[in-house]
Amino acid sequence: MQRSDEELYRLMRKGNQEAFAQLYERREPALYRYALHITGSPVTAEEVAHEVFLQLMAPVARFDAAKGSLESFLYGIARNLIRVARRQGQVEEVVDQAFEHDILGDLIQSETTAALYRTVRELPERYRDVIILCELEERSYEDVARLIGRPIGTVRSRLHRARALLSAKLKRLQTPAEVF
Amino acid sequence: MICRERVGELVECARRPSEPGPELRAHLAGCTNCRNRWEAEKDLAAALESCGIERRPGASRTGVARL
Repeated sequence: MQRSDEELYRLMRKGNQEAFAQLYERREPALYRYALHITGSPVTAEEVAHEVFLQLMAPVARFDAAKGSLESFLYGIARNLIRVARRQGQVEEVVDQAFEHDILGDLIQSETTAALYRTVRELPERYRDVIILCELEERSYEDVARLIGRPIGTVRSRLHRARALLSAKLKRLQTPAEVF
Repeated sequence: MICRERVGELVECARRPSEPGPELRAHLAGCTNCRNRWEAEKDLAAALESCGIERRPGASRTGVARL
């Protein structure tokens, strides 16, 4: 039977390296994608995902199972790290470079898709997170509610609003500017 | 303005994707705002469908080794 994240974490704290490796393998890829969706920078995403686990391994354990799941805790760390990266201007600087150098070129197949990614990143955080988690990561409403620490009803209403915003922004991008 | 009580239904139909049921279809036939939202939702669902970042092959164990 598969061990829960929390069990793996407890084992990890006792020095079990295999437990840590399992936890990393299970959660790091999605954390990396989450950071990549938000930042558009593979380098920053890699750093964020890496730093999340460094913080998890820190001598002073901050995770408290009574306050929520370990996965939710990991996303919380990732969100904070991304906020810091944005404040420091790391994200905006590398976004365009990433597209210019075609780092995501194999993955982003069309202009519309590239515009969609940019537009998602420009959404306010509360809307951006639900779009990324519900739509791009295809997580259930229940999962997302747990990850962001909000009720399911809030996830739904944020998603509805986020989709409307996204749709309107994309429409504006696709409409040629009028020439006077 | 779009009819508030219809938003959830429209979004879920576009996300599944599935066609609206008879009651919603009837509403769409008579409500321009909801019809526009439905078209926008379908376009957005198609755009989102084409997105997605694949898992990096072999990244995980490499990452563990770095820590």
